[in-house]
Amino acid sequence: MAYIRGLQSGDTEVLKTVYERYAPALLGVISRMVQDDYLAEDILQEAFVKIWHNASAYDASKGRLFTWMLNICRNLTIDKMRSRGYKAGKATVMDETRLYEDPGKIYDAIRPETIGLREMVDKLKPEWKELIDLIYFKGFTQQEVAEALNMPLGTVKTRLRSAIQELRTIF
Amino acid sequence: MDTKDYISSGILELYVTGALTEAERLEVEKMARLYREVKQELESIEMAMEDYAFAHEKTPSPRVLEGILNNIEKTENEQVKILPMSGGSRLYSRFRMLAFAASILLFLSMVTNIYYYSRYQRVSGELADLRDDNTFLTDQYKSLKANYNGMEKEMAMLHDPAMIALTMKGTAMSPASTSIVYWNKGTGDLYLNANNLPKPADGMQYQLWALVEGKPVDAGVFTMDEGIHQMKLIHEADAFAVTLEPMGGSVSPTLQQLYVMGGV
Repeated sequence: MAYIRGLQSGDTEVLKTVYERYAPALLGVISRMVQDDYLAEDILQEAFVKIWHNASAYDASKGRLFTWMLNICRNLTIDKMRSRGYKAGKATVMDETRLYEDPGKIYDAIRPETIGLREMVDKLKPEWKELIDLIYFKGFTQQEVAEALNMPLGTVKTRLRSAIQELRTIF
Repeated sequence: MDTKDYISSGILELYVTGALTEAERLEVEKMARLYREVKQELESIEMAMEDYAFAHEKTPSPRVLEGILNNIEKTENEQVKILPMSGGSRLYSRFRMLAFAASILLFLSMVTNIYYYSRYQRVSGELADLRDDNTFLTDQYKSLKANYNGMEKEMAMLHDPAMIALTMKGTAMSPASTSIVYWNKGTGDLYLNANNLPKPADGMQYQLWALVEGKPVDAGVFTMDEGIHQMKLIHEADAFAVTLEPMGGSVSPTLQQLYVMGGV
């Protein structure tokens, strides 16, 4: 909670610390959504300026700081994609290979504390990983996933729960 | 309501992964406010997804942080920038009106400031007083507690069955004086109650001795305060005696100044 208080009081040192800790994870999500590293960084930059100015709007009782920051990034990314005619990345639905096309490029952030996490993610069943990634990294709604993967709406919900349950046992 | 079904429905996962509409999000937030277990489940999911995001992280290039800091600096500078005055008589008269209004506002604000400042001063004075009182009471409490602890310890010592009490009777120097030593031979703990010795001259102090086969062993000096004094540990003694010595005590007793004495 010290982070958010620092941000709210306008301490740029705290902003730098928060950036160091969270920016790589946020950029990981954004760049998977937009498939464009340069644009992803622009969005990250804009998101952090927004985080800085809106820090007082963060309500710790509603959820974790990371979730809040990620939502800002996600909304900004979706806005950007719409304005650029991306149709929120849905054009690439069937082209799943793009998500993983260049692992070397995407997985370039090697921090010792996250190497373990990465290995654990690889243990996840591929179809569950796909489901999580469509929603979490590509910003699909429940409806859109149902259409894309050709499954009933309710199944999306229960499968996503099973997938994240497994994720929870892995971590 | 049974929250198990709600939790296992998968809606919380959709919430955390950002797949819900605004209305659905508000519903989930309401449930989390109402039910602790929903909130806890939500948090576990959040943490799992946070780890998931961290597992996919990607280092931004340095330009991003630079850009952020520049942007923040810029907006902060804009906030303090003052608009330059421009010419034109209409603009000027409007400016004068504004300036007049502003000076009235400034005056009112100054009056309010003075009022609040004096109030602030009074309140902070009161606060300082209360702090002082509080410190005083805390100190008093601490010293009483220390006294009490000391007394409790003495009581425990004195009630130890191994503790023996020896009366030292006054010598020719001071026939009316008596003193009592409490001695635990097993542990060596030694206490002295010597309230009715004559007041020593300036620069002088009483000293307790243990006599072991006729040889005096220093058992410590003491002042004439109230209560029982804890003395040095003594494991062997045939008798105890008190002499008057120069301040700080002596290496061997001044026998001409022997005040009280008693055998074991």
